[in-house]
Amino acid sequence: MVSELFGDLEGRFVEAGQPLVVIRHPLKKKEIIENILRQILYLFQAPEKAKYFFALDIQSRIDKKGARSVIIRPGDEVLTMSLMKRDTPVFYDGREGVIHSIYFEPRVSVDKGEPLIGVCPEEKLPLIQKVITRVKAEWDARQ
Amino acid sequence: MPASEKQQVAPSPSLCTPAELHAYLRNYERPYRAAYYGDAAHQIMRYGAIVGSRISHYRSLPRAMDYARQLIDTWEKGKISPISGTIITADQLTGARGRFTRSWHAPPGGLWGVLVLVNTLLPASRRLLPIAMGITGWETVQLYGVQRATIRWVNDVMIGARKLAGFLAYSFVGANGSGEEYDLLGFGVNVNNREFPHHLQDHATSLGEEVGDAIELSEFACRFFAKLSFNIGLLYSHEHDVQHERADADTSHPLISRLREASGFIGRRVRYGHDVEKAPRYEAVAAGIDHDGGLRLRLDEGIELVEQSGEIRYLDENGG
Repeated sequence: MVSELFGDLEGRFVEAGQPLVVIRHPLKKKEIIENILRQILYLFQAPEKAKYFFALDIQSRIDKKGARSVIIRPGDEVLTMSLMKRDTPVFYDGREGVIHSIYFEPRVSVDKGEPLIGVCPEEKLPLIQKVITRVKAEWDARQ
Repeated sequence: MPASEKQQVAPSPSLCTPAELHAYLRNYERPYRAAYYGDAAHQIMRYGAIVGSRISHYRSLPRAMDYARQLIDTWEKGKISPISGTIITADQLTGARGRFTRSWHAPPGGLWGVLVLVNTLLPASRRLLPIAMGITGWETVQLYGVQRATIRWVNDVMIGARKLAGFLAYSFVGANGSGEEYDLLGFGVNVNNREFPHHLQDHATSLGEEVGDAIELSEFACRFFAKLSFNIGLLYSHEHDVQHERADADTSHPLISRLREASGFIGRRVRYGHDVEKAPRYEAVAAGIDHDGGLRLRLDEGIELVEQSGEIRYLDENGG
């Protein structure tokens, strides 16, 4: 929603970067949970701007059991990076854990440094579930 | 490896030996490049000299890329440093594949193989390896007077709607703890093989068919490797020039300028997708190439997108 409009600038020459309008985006429940998760999970980032796909083995395990049942370990080939018709396997280098969140779509480019997956150590899954439940409960209570 | 397969992959006399390649580089490629690049040609060719430092030829291989990986694995396990610039070729590939699950027909008569590079390029240069392959194919075909040849982004060499050469690139890290990065650059050029399976007949052509005569395959191989040597050298040389502030990283790489020259796609209406045959995403007009090789696509609404991977197919009257 528009929270502030700099009407006095109307019709005037302004420099690049000059604020014209302030837009506030009230976070939704899902976005709040996602922001919290991004601080808790180990975020495995894109090494280059490219398109990413799960490695065949990982994809078939995700298809069978769901991502949150797939445990990955350091050194595992988890993704394939596709850039300019060159395919490169991408090896996981974080802590062992389950693939909790997937931040990419297979056919959409991901910028360098953007998270590809969020990984959670298995033993911390109940804690994360607790956080999510609490956010949901507080959110619902305020509505 | 089964005994029958071992027999199949027995080495055979090379199409072009390293000594023949060296002579070709000295007698033909260097004078030709010097006319355009001047003194810089010498530096570029020194950088590219690793290409073809070892050339192995086989009567038949299942798939050259897979064989190269096995070879690297064997070398690493034996504590032998893989030789960067190794070229592996075969008269025929019995299990050749294109991208995704596409088949690639590789019978005797074509130039089939792979170049093995131990990576020492920075990411900005490394990303252009597939483009260097396409330019190499296009330049070699030009030597035979086939002026109609063009490149379809990223690196397919086309004659009209038919594909004459295709290239694949695969990068990986050695599996034996060496930490070494490798690039496998696969090449497939239809040279004298004029018969294609039914499903490829309208989509493939060969150099022999285009010039109406048989091509001397050994000579073609030497010419192709010489151009490959130069274009790989160009990647290293340009990187060196950027690092020493003799070239600007934000302006077009010489290979990108060459791609624009060879382009058969700029200004044409295309269908785009990562696997465009199975999962096309949208249609647009190919508006140009960014300085880093990305394809600029203009949607009907006027919005421009830049794609860094994926592939295109032509939609206009010339097909392809």
